[in-house]
Amino acid sequence: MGNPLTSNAEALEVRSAELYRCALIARREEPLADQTKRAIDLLIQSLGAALKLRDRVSATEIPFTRTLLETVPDDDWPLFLNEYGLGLGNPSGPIVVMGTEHAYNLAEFKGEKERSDALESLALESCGSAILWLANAGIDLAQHLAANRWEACQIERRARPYQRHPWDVSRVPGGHTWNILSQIVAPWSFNEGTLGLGDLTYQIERSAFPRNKIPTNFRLLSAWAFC
Amino acid sequence: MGFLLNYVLPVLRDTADTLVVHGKAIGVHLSEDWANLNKQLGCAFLGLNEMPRETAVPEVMPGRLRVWSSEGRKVVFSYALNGGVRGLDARYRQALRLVLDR
Repeated sequence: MGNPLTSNAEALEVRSAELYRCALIARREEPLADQTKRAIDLLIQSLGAALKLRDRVSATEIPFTRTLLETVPDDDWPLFLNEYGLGLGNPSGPIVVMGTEHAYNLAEFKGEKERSDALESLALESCGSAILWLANAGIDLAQHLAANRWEACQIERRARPYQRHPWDVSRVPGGHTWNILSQIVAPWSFNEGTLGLGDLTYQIERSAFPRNKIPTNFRLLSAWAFC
Repeated sequence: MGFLLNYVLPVLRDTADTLVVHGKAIGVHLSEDWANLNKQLGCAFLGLNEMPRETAVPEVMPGRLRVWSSEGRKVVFSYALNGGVRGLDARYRQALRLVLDR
């Protein structure tokens, strides 16, 4: 008989992937640009592979990457938002931290880098969330989903799983939640031998919609009814 | 949102003893919808139908932290975590640290 806590976490990962996959299948029926349909199809295929193979899944079975989002018309990006995304950090940690929305923006970019950073966050925190957790993936699968955006030196220096320690590779400004939280919950964390933010906390957002897109009353009610 | 309430929080309370809720939806001018939702999130984590009476907050920064607790679990509403990035001073960190250490 398995560990009940582990079983609960696994059941949650499966539920997350199934609900997101169902939502994507429904969105696929809307009139959409060909590039959008293709990206949704490949994401559905990737989620199916992760559900079937779990921790045996590898990058070769995951055709969805950030590069596909680059081909999708900007107005269609919200179709990829995952209302059932999981958190970041340690699901068994003592502190759950719930924010309002993701820190990235899907509009009004100041430059190409900011646009690519946002699509990286969308690919990893929304589209790839359940895939990374189901696969119990190392940094390699996250690197694949992000379409190899990170420098080799970033990967080699610290190869911890993205879903548990995303700050290893995703650089954020000083006022970001990750930095603030780290100061509070793990101010002693100065090397990899001590427990850090990703060990002590599990961070999850109330809204799948990123910055400046707080859900309306209607959306709250409809999301509630859907679940 | 139902995913958080019905699946995620009930699972996480098996191992976590503290839920810190922060961000724009904890601001001073909070709509009734967000306030009700926050209460439901807190209830889902504590495993209660209603939020218990609010418990005392550390005096070093009482206005920015609100704390509810039940049977060893705590729910902390903390609207200064990011909204007050520039004003995040040692007193605030000390106050939240005190709550987390309880």
